[in-house]
Amino acid sequence: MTITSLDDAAWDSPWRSRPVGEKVALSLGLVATALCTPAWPGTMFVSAVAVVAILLLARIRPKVLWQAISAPLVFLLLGGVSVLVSVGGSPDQTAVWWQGGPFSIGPASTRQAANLFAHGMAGTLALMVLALTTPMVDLLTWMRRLHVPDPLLEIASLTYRLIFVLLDTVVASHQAQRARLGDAPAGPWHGLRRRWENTAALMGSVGIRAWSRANRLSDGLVNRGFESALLTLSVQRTGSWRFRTITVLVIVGSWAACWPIAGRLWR
Amino acid sequence: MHIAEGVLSPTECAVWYAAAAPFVIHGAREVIRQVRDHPENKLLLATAGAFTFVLSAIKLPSVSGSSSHPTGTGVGTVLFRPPVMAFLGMIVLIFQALLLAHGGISTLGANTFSMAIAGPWVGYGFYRLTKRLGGPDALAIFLCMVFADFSTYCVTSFQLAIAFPDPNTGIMGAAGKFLGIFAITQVPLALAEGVLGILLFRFLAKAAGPQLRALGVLSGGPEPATDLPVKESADV
Repeated sequence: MTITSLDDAAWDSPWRSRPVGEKVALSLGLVATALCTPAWPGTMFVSAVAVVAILLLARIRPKVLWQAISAPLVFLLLGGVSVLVSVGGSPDQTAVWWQGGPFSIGPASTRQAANLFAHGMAGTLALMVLALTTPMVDLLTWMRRLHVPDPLLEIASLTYRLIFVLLDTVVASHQAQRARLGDAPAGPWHGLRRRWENTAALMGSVGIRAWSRANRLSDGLVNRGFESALLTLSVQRTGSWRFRTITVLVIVGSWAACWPIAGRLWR
Repeated sequence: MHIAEGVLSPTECAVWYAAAAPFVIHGAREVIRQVRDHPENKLLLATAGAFTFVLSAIKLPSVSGSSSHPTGTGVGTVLFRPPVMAFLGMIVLIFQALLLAHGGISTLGANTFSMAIAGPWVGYGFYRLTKRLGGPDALAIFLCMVFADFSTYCVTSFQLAIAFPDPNTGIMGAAGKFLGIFAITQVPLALAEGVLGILLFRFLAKAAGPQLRALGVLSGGPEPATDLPVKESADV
């Protein structure tokens, strides 16, 4: 996955034309459900709804979704294993399923690990509903309605735009270094010292170029009269009562289904 | 290393948001003040945020052929001070959550507290202490980078330990467990980031010495001749 994979998918998504508020409500509603409901069955419902929304309704390619969740999946697996294994002996030997030296696995740690994985996976999938369908620029434009101060939104917006400019610089510089065999594993310690110095030079030159570019961009904007808010026209999007109704029904339904199955609504 | 979406309970999410809020609000007010007083700083601050994000995407070479990535907050802390980094760090974390699926929105408060508040402030503390004791710039930068990284990983470990206490040994046992697991990657990474910081600022001192002196990053001394050619990779 490249840094722009999720953003590219969001720009191409058929849901790009939907109002941002509707997508935020669906995604954050599902995140809240994943956080607050019991792991079984709440997180299962959330995961299923999120996958259907991403793959079938927003028509995101399965490969992109897999790439997006692979890194969090590794974190959740590592976190799950570290929670699964307890340190130190338990006074109640009947509550231990396996023991090896100071480490043990029991029902309490297994429940904790399963909860961590289930809540984490459901939450990540729910957030991907927003990340894979809404470009950052749409989100920042929408946030103006929440009365976030203009300078803060502008810095966030400029940061977003500059990321791609800097990435191009990093890629070009790195390619130039590689073309000069700057990363060749030759010499003492496989050229580790030279490769580290090249990495530092890459970071430094990107920083200096970014600084210089920012100064020139600032001068250009001032010369054009942009001295206050950098407002841009926002696309007018028509909301859908059907979408909103389904969102509410899905979230309320996920909560309601927890009561007969788990016997409680809260985790 | 960020805590993934959904991992913390709603109560913990709220507590970490509340803990991070004063620092982020203070940082945001500082940013607004800087932009109002010096509008030209708007783009420089945005560049600092983008630079921090891009730094976290640059792979560090290692002997085994594997790679890691720096957190980038140490560099920003030295250049722009911790209050500004609290706000910029939060923006970077939002971008990482939505552009890289790294971290999350419900865990944003916890991740902001560890990476954008605790890391920069601890790192900056070591930086100022070393400078006050008359230590060399290189040591101050090394300690800042290393302890910014260390403290981020320690705070994250304790956040996870509070969320998932060990059934036998409680929060402290769980903290030891998480610290031990993360130490495998984070201790070498923190030391590597410290070394990289020295190399980076050595490069910047050659290429942008006057600017670093103006920011107070480098101590005084003879100005390097600016017309001397910098290492060729500066312009690759």
